[in-house]
Amino acid sequence: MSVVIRATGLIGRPVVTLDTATDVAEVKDVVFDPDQARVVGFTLRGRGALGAPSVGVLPTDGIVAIGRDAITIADATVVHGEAPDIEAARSDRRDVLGDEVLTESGSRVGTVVDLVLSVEGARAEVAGYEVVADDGTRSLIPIPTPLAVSGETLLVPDGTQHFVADDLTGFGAAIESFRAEAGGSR
Amino acid sequence: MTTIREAVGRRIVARDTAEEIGRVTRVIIGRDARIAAITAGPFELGPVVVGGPGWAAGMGAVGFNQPAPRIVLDWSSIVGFGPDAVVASTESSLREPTSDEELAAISGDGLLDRPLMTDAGDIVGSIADVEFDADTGRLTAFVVGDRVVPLTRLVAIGPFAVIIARPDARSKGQGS
Repeated sequence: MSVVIRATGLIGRPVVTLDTATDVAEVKDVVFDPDQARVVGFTLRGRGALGAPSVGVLPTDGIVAIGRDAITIADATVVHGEAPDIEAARSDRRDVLGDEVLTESGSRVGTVVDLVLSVEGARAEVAGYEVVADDGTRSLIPIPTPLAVSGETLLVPDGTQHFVADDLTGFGAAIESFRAEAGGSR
Repeated sequence: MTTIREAVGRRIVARDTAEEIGRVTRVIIGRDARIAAITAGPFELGPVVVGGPGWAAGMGAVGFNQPAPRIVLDWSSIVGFGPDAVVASTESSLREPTSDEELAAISGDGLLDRPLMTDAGDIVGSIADVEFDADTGRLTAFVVGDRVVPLTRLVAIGPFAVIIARPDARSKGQGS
């Protein structure tokens, strides 16, 4: 069963090995690919306030499960010192936090402050974005794949505002409504 | 069958002298899900350890240069683990703690109150008690709230948590 969470909620989550039940690191950054609309890995840091600022990267293919309290891995060997595809995904184009959200017809929706993920097992797919409007109100937009993503702007379809949700509880229904509408219009 | 909480406070008697040499204060679990040792103390009241002269110094108080107290009793030195007393081979079976695990257990970082987490990364509660076979020292189940989780689901015991397999997954861990 999938669970809907904010991507920033994963930051600081411990990474725990299943062979020794040891928390070897914690999540520093969530790295995702907007073209695939999914999380491709995590950069890691040492545990706690005095932990090392960087201890490696964890591709999603090394993950057993993304859980409510920990990310589990088989053992510490799946944490890499470097991973070119993960590093590539951290390029400016894929750092969407702070990007402006525009509709196809040129209306500003707001600024991206978070990603909304649908997590099941080891897989985390982008289900949408959390956006802050100019008046300060927050909304969740169920757009997993924007029309286009630059280094500064996400372009979304007109009418996106009709499917926004106020909180994660209602977000699942918002996703279904959007997909039903998108499927019927094709 | 007994539990760790039931064992704490039980008398420890030396077989050669029939003298009481202490009371069970901690139960040290090895990563093989068996009791590796117990610790013996004069008396313990909650988190406070009340002991005789030299006790606090022996536990490593700053500024003291005292040897660690001989408080560890290996399972192999236990003749019988009964409902009323633990019988040790001899009083000289007691030794100083030598491993990080033993020191951690003595300082209170034992299995009790440690999180119980599934291999899916979800903490399901804290370990309230642990059942074990008094003849073999082998753990048999974890008590979490009002649930008893059999050791057949054990995946690993470690510093972060005790990890069990999800209910719909087959355990590859010890005890199966």
